[in-house]
Amino acid sequence: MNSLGLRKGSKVSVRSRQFFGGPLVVQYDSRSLAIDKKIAEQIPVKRCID
Amino acid sequence: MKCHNMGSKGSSHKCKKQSFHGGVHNKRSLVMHDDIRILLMGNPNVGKSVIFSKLTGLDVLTANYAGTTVSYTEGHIHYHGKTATLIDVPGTYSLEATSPAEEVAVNFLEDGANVVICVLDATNLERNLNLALQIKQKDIPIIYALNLIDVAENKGISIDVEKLEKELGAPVVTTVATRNVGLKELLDTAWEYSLKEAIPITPVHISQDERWQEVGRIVENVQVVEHRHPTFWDKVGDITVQPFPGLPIAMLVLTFSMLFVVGGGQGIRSLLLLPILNNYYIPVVTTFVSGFVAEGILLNVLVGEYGVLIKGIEWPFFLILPYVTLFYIVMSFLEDSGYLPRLGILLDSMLRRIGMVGSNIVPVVMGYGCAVPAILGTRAATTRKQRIMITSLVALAVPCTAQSGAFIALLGDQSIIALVFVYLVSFAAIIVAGYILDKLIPGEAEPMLMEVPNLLKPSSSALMQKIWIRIKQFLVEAEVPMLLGILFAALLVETGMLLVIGNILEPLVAGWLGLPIEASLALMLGIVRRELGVLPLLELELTTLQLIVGSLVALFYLPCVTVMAVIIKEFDLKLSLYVLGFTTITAFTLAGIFNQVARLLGFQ
Ligand SMILES: Nc1nc2c(ncn2[C@@H]2O[C@H](COP(=O)(O)OP(=O)(O)OP(=O)(O)O)[C@@H](O)[C@H]2O)c(=O)[nH]1
Ligand SMILES: [Mg+2]
Repeated sequence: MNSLGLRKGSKVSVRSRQFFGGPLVVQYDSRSLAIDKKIAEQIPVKRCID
Repeated sequence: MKCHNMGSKGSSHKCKKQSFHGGVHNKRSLVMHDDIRILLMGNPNVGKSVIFSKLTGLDVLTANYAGTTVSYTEGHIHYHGKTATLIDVPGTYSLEATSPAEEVAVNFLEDGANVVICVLDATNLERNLNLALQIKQKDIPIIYALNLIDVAENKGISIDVEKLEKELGAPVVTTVATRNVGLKELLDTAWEYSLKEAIPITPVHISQDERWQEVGRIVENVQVVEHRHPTFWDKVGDITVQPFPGLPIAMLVLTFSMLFVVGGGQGIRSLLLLPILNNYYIPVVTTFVSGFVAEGILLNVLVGEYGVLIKGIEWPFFLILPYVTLFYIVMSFLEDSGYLPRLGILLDSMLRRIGMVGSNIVPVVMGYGCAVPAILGTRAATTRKQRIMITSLVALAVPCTAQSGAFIALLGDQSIIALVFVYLVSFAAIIVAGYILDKLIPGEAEPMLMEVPNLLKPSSSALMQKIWIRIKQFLVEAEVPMLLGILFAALLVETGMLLVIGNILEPLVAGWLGLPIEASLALMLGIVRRELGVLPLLELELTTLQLIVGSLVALFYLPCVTVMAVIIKEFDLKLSLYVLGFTTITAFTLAGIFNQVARLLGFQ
C-alpha cells in the first residue's frame, strides 16, 4: 500500500462503500484506490473538515 | 513458443521468448553490443505500452487498468542511422515485486540497459516519483516521459517541467502518447542519452519514509493544482462505484453488451452474410469445383457435407466472426474506458464468496474472449491460489467468444430460452465450482487493493487498433485448426469411419446423453477448438433437449489444446491433468444427468 502512495499523513476522502463488506473507494491526491474493508479498518484516520 | 494476446505477436523477430526472468543479456555483453537497449519502466497504467507501440509500430495491447502488460515485448527502432531495441515491460509500483508480472519488470532493470525511459503519470506525480527515485538509484542513465498531460490539464494540474528536470537531474519530456505528442522529442533525448557513460552513483540508502518526504518536497515545488469542477467523466466515474446507482448501471451495461453481441450478430448474419453465403458463395464454389473434380470422395471432401471449401469458410467467417468482432468491440470499450475495475469493486463482496476478488474481474471477462490471455493475465495477481482459481474456472465454465458465437448460432434460432438456460447453467457452475475450489485450494484470497483508473473517453484510434489486433489474431489462430478439423471430419464421414467410432461411443453418446451417434464428431473436434465442439451439431437435426445437452457437454468439455499447452507452461503438467480430468467428468456427468432427468419428466 505504501508504494501505492497511501501512507501516513495522506489526506483521504471516502468516495464509496459497498454492501456486505465490499471494498472502500478512497480518494487521495487526485487518485482513487479500492481498499479491502478489513485493511481499511486498520488504518488510523483523523477526521478533518475542509 | 507462442506469444498470445498479451502483447507481442507475429513473426519471430518481433515475438521474443516470454519468461518470468526477462532477457538474457547482462551488463557485460551490453557494452560490446552496437545496439542501444532502451527499457520502458514505470507504474502500471501510465501509457508505457502506448508509447512502445507508437515508437516501434508493433501491435501490443493497451488498456485502461493496471496489469495490462504481463510479460515483455521487444521491438526495434531505426533512427538516425542507429538501431535500438525498445523493451516494454509490465508496470510496477515499487522495485520489490509482488506479482509474477512485476518480477519481469524488476528483473529487466537488474539486467541493465543503455537508457531507461521512466514514464510518469502527470495526474499522479507523487506515487510515480516514488518509483522514479528508486530507479534513479540504479547505475543506468534515465530520462523521463511525463505522460497523460492532457488528462492532468483537465483536472487542473500543472507541472513545472524545468523545475522537475532540475530536481531529477535528468531531462523530462512531456507527452500525450495516444496522440503522438512529444514522442519524437522523447526519442531524440533517448538517443542523445544512450551515448552517455553512466555516471557511477554511490547508492545512498534512504528509508521509505525519507523517500516519501523527498517526493513530497519535489511535488510541492513543481506542481500546482487549481481546483476545477469535476469533469463529466469524473462524475460518471464517481457514481459507477456507488452501490446505487452503480449496480443498476452495471446491470444495464452488461445487458446492453449481451444484446449488442447476440442481436447484432444475428442481424448481420441473417441480413447480410447468409444471403451472400447461400446465394453466391456456395453455388459458385460448388459449380466451379465440380467442373474440375469428378464425383467421388475428393469432391465430397472439398464441397460435400463437411466440404473443406464450404464449412472451412462458412464456420469461421460467416458464422463465428460476426460475434467475435462485436464481442471485441464491446470488450475494448469496457477496457479503455476504465470501467472494468469499477465493476470489480461492485462485485468484490460476491466474488469473495467464491474465492475470488474484485480485481480478478479483468481476467475473467477476458476469458469470455479467449482463455489464453485470461490465464496469462493472472500473472498480475499476487497469489498462486488466485491464479489457479481463475485458470480453473475459466477453463471449466467460461465459453470463449468463438464458442459463444457457436452457441448463439445453434440455439438462438431454435429457442432463445435454451440459449439463456445454457448461460445460466454456466454462471451457476462458476459459483459452485468457485465455492468448492476455494475450499480445496489452500491459502487465503488476496485482499483487495486496486488502483481505480481515471474514467477516460476511449481514443478511437486506440480502439480500432485493438479491435483489429484481436480480430486478426482470431483469424490467424482459428483458420488453420478449423480447416484441419473440418478436413478430419470430412474424411471420417466420407470413409464411413464416423459410424465405426460412433458405434464404439454409442453407450455414452446415445445411451447416456441421448444424442445421435454422429454427435461423436463434436466430441472429437472439440478437443482442437472449443467452438468445434458445438458446430457439428448444427448439421444434425436435433430436438431442443438434444441441443441443450450437446451445448452443456461442449460448455464444460476440456478447453482446447492451446489452452492446455498454456496451462502446462504457466503452471505444470499436474494442474493441466487436473483441469483435463474435472472438465471432462463435469461435462459428461452434468449433461448426462440433465438428459436423463429431462427424459424422465417427459421431455424429448
Ligand atoms: N488521454 C490519454 N490517455 C492515455 C495517454 N497515454 C496512455 N493513455 C491511455 O491510458 C491507458 C493505459 O495505457 P497502457 O499503455 O496500457 O499503460 P501501461 O503503462 O502499458 O500499463 P501496464 O501494462 O498495466 O503497466 C490506455 O487506455 C491508454 O489509451 C495519454 O497521454 N493521454
Ligand atoms: Mg503495458
